[in-house]
Amino acid sequence: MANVSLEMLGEARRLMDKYNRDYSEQESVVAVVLGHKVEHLALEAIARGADIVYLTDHPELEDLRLQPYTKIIAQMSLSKEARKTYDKPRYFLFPATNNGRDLSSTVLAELESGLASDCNKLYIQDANISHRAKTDGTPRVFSRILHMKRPDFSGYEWSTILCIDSPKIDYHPQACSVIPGSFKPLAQDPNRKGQVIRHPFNLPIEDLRLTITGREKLLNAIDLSSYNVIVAAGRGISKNPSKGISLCLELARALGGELGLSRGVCTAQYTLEPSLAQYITEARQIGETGQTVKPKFYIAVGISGAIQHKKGMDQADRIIAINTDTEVPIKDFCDVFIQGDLFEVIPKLLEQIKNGKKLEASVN
Amino acid sequence: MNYVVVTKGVPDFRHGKVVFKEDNTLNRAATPTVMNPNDFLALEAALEAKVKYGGTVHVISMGPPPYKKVLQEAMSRYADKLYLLSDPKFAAADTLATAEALSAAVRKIGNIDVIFSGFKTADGETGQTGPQTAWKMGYTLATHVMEFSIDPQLKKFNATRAITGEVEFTTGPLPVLVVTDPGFQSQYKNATQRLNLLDLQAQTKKRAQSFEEFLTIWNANDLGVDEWKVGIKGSPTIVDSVDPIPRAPSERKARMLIGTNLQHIQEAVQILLRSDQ
Amino acid sequence: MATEKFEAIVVGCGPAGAAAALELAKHGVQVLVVDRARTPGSKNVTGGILYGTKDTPYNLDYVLPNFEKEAPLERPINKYILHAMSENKVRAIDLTELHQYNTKYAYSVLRTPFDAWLAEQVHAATRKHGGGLLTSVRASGPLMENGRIVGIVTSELEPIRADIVIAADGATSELARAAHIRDWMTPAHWFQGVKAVLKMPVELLENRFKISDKEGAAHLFSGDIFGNARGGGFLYTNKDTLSIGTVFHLDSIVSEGIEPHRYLDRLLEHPLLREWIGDSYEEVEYSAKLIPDGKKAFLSKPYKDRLLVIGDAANQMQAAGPIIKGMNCGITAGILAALSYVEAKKKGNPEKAGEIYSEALNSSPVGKALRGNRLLKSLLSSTTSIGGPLMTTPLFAPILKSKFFARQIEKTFTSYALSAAAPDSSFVYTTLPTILAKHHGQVVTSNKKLTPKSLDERIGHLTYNTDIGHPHIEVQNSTPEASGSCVTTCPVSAKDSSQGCYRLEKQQVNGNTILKVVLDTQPCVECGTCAVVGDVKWEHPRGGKGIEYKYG
Repeated sequence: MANVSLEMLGEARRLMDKYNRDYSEQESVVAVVLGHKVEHLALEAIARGADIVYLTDHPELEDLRLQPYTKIIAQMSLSKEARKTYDKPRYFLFPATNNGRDLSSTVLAELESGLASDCNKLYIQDANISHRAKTDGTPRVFSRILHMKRPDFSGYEWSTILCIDSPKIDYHPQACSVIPGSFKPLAQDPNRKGQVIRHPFNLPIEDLRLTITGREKLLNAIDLSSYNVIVAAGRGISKNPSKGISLCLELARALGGELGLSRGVCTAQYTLEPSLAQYITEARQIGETGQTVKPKFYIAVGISGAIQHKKGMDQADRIIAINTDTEVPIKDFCDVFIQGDLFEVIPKLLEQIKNGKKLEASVN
Repeated sequence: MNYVVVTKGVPDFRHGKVVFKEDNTLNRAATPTVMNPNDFLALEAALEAKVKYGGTVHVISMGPPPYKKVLQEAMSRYADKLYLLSDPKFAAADTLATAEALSAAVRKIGNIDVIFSGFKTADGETGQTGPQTAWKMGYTLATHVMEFSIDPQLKKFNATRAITGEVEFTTGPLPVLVVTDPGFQSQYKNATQRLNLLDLQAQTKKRAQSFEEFLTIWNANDLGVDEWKVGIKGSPTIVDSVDPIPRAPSERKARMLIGTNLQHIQEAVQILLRSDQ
Repeated sequence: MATEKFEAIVVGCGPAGAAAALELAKHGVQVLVVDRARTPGSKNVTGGILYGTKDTPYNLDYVLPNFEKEAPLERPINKYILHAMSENKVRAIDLTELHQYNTKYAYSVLRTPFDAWLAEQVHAATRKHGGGLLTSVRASGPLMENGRIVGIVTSELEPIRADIVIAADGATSELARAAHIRDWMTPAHWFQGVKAVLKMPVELLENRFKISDKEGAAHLFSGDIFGNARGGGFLYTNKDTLSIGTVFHLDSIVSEGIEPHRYLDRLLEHPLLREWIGDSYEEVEYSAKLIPDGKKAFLSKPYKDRLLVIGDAANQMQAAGPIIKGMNCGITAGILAALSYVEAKKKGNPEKAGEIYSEALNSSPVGKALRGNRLLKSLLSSTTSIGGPLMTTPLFAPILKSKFFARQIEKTFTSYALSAAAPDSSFVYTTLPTILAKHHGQVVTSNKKLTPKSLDERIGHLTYNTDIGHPHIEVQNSTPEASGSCVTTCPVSAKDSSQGCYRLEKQQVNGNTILKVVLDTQPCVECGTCAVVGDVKWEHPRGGKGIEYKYG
């Protein structure tokens, strides 16, 4: 099961636990599983927080195609089973992957209700709204509204989106797509109990008119822009490239991030240990001719900060540079400059990170 | 063959064009409006279809009267005809309500084989409007398209799509709505096609100088839409509040730390482990 | 599957290709012109001056009669001065007469705007007959059929057939190499030039160089300022910029081991130049180019089957001493190639175009000049090789100091015949001017400070549309012995540069430290130097990719 799905289940569980407490209800987390030979995912969904799983398993659903998937989800949403007072889901979460975002759009077009995309924060509470179309300008309280927060306006705004009934129409469900990595999954609990409801596959041939004739995996593709922390290795690793790369990898992992590279490292033709050679790839390059990233933390290890590299990372929230030379260009556009040999500094950082995490764990 | 390209005007987020308030947050009102950058790819895709299969390219945008400038920008890339959907009733529409108005316009033009749409506007950034328009029209939907081709005789299309970590090859019947991926590339493999492309580009640039001759403006009545399905009335979602995010500082002042100093290392780790909400 | 066909294909839309295409279009021929840049001119560099000569009608005005009024030319050059230099002593020699000899017109140009204008004329003229100009298309080789050339193959399009293909793809021509008409030759067969474009306020420029708004000046520099490197420097006045550069025989750059940009800096830092420009300029572009030495490498059979080669691609450059004529040679050849095809077609034998072109070229003034007066050449060569060392002996000292001697030497510089025949030795480039300046020059001083840009700054300023994942150069042998010269002769590389193309790196392999020549093609200016001096596999980048100059 994709990480984003586990994250959504975890968040849905937290949202509904609080909802049931706040509103003295006993509403459920429902997982929707579509595909072919995916029974095991239904059980995993329950172990990860679902109370109910709606499952349709059919060869025609092996690949995600928007038409059949949308129609089936719409059928499920309108089913009267297992939902007591409501005909349709109250809140609906989708992953904000390419397919997930598209699917959320078509499902909500079919259900004719509201959708916010690429959300990274969710909470349910009553909303006091005064809106010229929805409330004729007078303030009204709408209860149990999913507040969906998402970045937009090219990174300049963080908007809170609500789905609110109009005087003419009650909108169900309130839906959103969720940015991968925004939430934490629940630990797997094999003792959780839940119900699997099999929804039959029942679609006219017309809905299967799009054919997928082939696929190709993109080798080495790694999207560094989706990580909160990037540790980028520069030519400061030259004196021992293997050790340098492995230290940067360790640091990245300890902070939940990923490894990036400067262009100089990509073209240096270092001889690396076989297990590490795969990490030197242009796919990880950051800079004008590589990826542009805006993470929360950008750690530039042994990178001088030439303009070609700067263009790919200078919009990061916080930039930390590790370098022996204090006269390099990056000193003028970083927030923290640690002067030192990366081969000594990174192990020290790793040790302190381990201590810090131990402290956090013991406190919690 | 008939093609529609749906476009939108957005604030100009380019470096040096976007205007900031004193607190370094976005000043939307003072920032000029331009064609959504991703929409240029949809225009390129439509032009590619015209070069290869012939036909007419109709470009639609929904917005207040000044947005006709955005349509002029579209024509300087390529358009045969322009349509502005303009009516106070269309204002403050979310994606569902926008899709409703756009669908009505496409039906009014009639006989459209392919609708081209860009992926994600630079302001709303939802990526929803294209798929929702396709759904309302009952068109086959191909999203994240990197390359495509049409068979006008068999009334079919082929599309290469970008999915996370993969590329997918699909085929389906017309009519179709194609959402171009930001990585979309038109493919012209023969010299004659490229020369015709140059001719069309020269013609459209000339036409764009007197673009209003080719512009039709429609309001809610012209489209015959239900006023509770468009604009602010027809939008299930509202923007309740906005937290502005100031731009990253262009000048940073570095805190200088020494790598052999344990306290400095601890300070650095403190910064890294600090989680922000 | 049917292959596309155009009656004629011209590869490259610089001055030579443009002239060929325009002349063909004049005769109603359907011409497809392809150029690998996004806009023709963005990959081209000239010193540079565009000439029209009196000894042939086939100059640019032959195909574009109104170009002097319509083209973006910089300044008409009516002053031409050679500065012999020895340390801070300078002797100025007026070469204006030499420059005027056989000259119909001479304009300083910047290639990026100039070629872009040519491209517009070419597209309009060729489109009328079903052809046109396609940019961002890179011809990678000839299309072969039964062992004969019948068209071209490109990276972007399906192969295209033609009745005639004219290759005007420059000094680094892939077509000429792929057809085995010529190869990379040796460093001795090339010049390498590096250039900086400097922006200056117009009034100041005209004041410092003593020209009106309708005039222009060309200044050349030679002497011991460049050590033993055989060549010299130049400065041409444009409208509001200066083109300043240095040009040397590539083999002398290899043997001296000094990075090309340092010679440019030496010139900029000389008191004469500091006085002229010191505090009042902005360096806006750095560029480089290889120039084939027409004297050594002129191709007498520049064709094969239906492929005709013109311009730098056919090593057509003409130097009369310090005066270098390149663009006009290509233009003349382009027109001749076009006329040859038209004639061959009329006779019903279009495939004979190459023969007709080759004959026309060899009997043209350029061809004759390049084959040259052999007797005079060998006479001068032996005279200078004996006379040179002799002149530096104490016996000669009083003669050197005499004004008579100075006048005689200056006369030789200003004589066209002697200049054209003079050997390319350090005697001519260095010794003679140094002697002149030392004994007859004036001391030049300057208080103005001038700090040339570092190579990293120069590279950082250039625009590249990098073809990510498709480097166009590959080092075949990365040992310092095989490819070490690349590090010192590449105009965008230096031992102390971290942003350049070639580096010599110490690497640990199995506990041993080795030296390796390492390459990053991203900042490449596509001059071709490394292909000549090192063991590398060199191709043009794909269409629309790579360096894009703004001035050229």
